[in-house]
Amino acid sequence: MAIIATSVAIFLIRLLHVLYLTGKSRRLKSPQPLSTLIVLGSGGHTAEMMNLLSVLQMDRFTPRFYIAAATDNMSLQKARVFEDSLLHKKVIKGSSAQFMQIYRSREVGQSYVTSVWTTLLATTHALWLMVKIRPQVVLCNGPGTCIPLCVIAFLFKVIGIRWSSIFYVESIARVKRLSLSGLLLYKLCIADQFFVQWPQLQRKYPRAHYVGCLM
Amino acid sequence: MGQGTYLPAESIGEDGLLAVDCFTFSSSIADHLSSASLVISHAGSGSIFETLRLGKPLIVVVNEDLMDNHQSELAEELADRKHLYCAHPQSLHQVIVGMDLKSLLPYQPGDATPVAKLINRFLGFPDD
Repeated sequence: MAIIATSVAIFLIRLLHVLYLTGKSRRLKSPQPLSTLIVLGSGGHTAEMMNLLSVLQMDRFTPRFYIAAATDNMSLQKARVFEDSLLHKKVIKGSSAQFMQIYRSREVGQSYVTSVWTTLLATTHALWLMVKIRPQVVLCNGPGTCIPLCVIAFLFKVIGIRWSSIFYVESIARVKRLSLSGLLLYKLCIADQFFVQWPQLQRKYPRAHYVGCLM
Repeated sequence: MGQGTYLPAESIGEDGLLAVDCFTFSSSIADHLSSASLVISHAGSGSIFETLRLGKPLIVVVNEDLMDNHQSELAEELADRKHLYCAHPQSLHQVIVGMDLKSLLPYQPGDATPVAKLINRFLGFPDD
C-alpha cells in the first residue's frame, strides 16, 4: 500500500513539475543536434509540414523519424522525396531519416464512439514506436495520429524516460476553431509551443503563438 | 470517381463540344494547374494553396458531408479576403455565371520562417 501511495505521489509531483516547465525553454549554451519525430497527416497536413521543415536547419534536427498513419500512402512518400532532395542539394551528408507507419486513431468520418477503441489500439502501437525512438523534439500539425504520440512523449517527461520539446502547429485550414487534436493538446498543456495561423484563433486561445499563414 | 459514383464521359471536344478528360491521380497535376485559366476544386487546403500560389483563379466547392465541415472555414475566409470564389454544389452554377475573375486579389504566399525562429529560440539554437 505504502509503495503504491509513494509511487502515485512521486508521479503527481513529477507531473506538476513537467507542467510547470512546459513552455519554458531550456536554453543550453551550445545545443547538440536533437532527435526529431515528425508526425505526418493526409492531405494538406504533410504539405504544411514539408514547408516548415524546408526552413529549419536539418543539422539541428537529426536523426529524423517520420511517422504517418498506416492508411496514408502519400505522406511517407512525400517525406522520402523531401529527404532525397536534401541529399541531392547536399544540405545533409548522409541519410539519417527513418520512415514508420502507425495505426490510425480515427479515420475521416469515423464515429467518435468507435474512435475510442481505435485510439487505444493506436496508443499501444505508439508506445512501442516511442520506446524505440525516444525523440527530443516532436513536430506535429494536426492529424489525430499525433495525439497518442504527444501524450506518450509527455508521459516520458513525467516518468523521466526522455525529456522532449513538443511543438504543435495548428493547420492552416483551422481559422475560427481548433481541431480536436489542437484542442486536446492546448487544454492539457501538453505542447511546449502551440502555433496558430489565423488571428481569430490567437484571440480565442491566448497561450497560442500567432505566426501567420505557412502556405 | 474517387469515392463517388459518377463517372464523367470523356470527350476530345469535336464539333464545338466540350473536351473532357478525367483521372483519379496525376503526378503532373502542377502542369494541369499551370495551363488552366480557371480551377474549380474541393476545399482541401492543399488544393487551394497549390492553385493560389500559381496565381490561378479558383472556385472552391465545399463538401457539406465532412464531419464538422472544417473545410468551409478556410474557403470562406479566403473568399472574404477575395482570393477565390466559394460555392456549394447547388450554388456552383450561379457562382460561375456571376463571377468576375478580374476582381480576385492575388494571394501572397505564406512564410514558415516565423515558426522556425520561435522553435529555434525555444531550443536554444542561435538565430540564423
